[in-house]
Amino acid sequence: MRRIAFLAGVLALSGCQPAAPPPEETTETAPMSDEDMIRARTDEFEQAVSSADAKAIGALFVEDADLVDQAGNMHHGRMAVEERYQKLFEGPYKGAQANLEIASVRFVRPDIAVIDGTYELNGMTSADGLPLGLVTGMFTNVSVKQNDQWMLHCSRPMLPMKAPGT
Amino acid sequence: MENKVVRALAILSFVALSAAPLLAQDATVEQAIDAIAQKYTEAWKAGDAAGCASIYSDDADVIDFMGVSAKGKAAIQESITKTLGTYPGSSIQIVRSGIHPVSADVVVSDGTWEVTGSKAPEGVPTKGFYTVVVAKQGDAWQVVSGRTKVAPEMN
Repeated sequence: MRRIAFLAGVLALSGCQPAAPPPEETTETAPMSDEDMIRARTDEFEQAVSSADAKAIGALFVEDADLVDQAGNMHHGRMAVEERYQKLFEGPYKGAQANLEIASVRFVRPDIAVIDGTYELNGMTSADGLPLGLVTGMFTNVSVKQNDQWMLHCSRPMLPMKAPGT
Repeated sequence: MENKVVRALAILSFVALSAAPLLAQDATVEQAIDAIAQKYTEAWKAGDAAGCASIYSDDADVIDFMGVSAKGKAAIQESITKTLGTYPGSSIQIVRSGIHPVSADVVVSDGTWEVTGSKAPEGVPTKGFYTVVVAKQGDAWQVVSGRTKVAPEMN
């Protein structure tokens, strides 16, 4: 018994105590701001368009969402939005790659935001299969925060009128 | 056609007004939206830019069908002044296609617009469609965001 105590004492004096466990590496990351979350959602949208995934696009919308397309046609409800994109992916959007850029995020309420930006579609094809040039447009979306997730409520893409002579 | 003319017209910002059927919602919201529209169209007819701009919140923004934006009520009024100067004596017809409630005090309204009664410069669209976001500020409903568009075939 005395021998054990002696050994313990020697270890203590020599600094050979078992090392304290290293501080655990924190796996927590700073919570995303609402604007960052909205931007991340927009990136998801961009990816879904580029991969022609209508389901993934639908998942970004609330059930009661609506979309007014560039020609002014209303598509009401998540399913209608999905169907709209599915048709585009089987038609002019086939093989197209998207690039979305947010210009502004404006919170009209803490949980409601109006998002404006521009989009580019590269690689679109015409009805007769001919390649179309780069198509650029603008969008205005209204998103709502539900269960800590920002969801699209209204989507309003538009093609700005070209200035005369351009 | 001059860009100035196009931009002046382009800044048209609209609210809903029609007898179109609405989604199920509080009738008072519908009435409030219609009252705003009435105010806008009457002010337009009178050439009253300040009256038109009064439907907007101080921090509202608009983007016209050429993609040009105006931020704040003062900038919006300035744009409307140019538009009214380009089309003296004109009227504006607004037909609402729907109101989409986002919350109890925020709605999105869509519809079509048409300017009549004044000779439009060649190439300038006199009709198109619009989207506005209308929010309740205190006791009053105000337009916080307006977007006017023309269909691609109108381009």
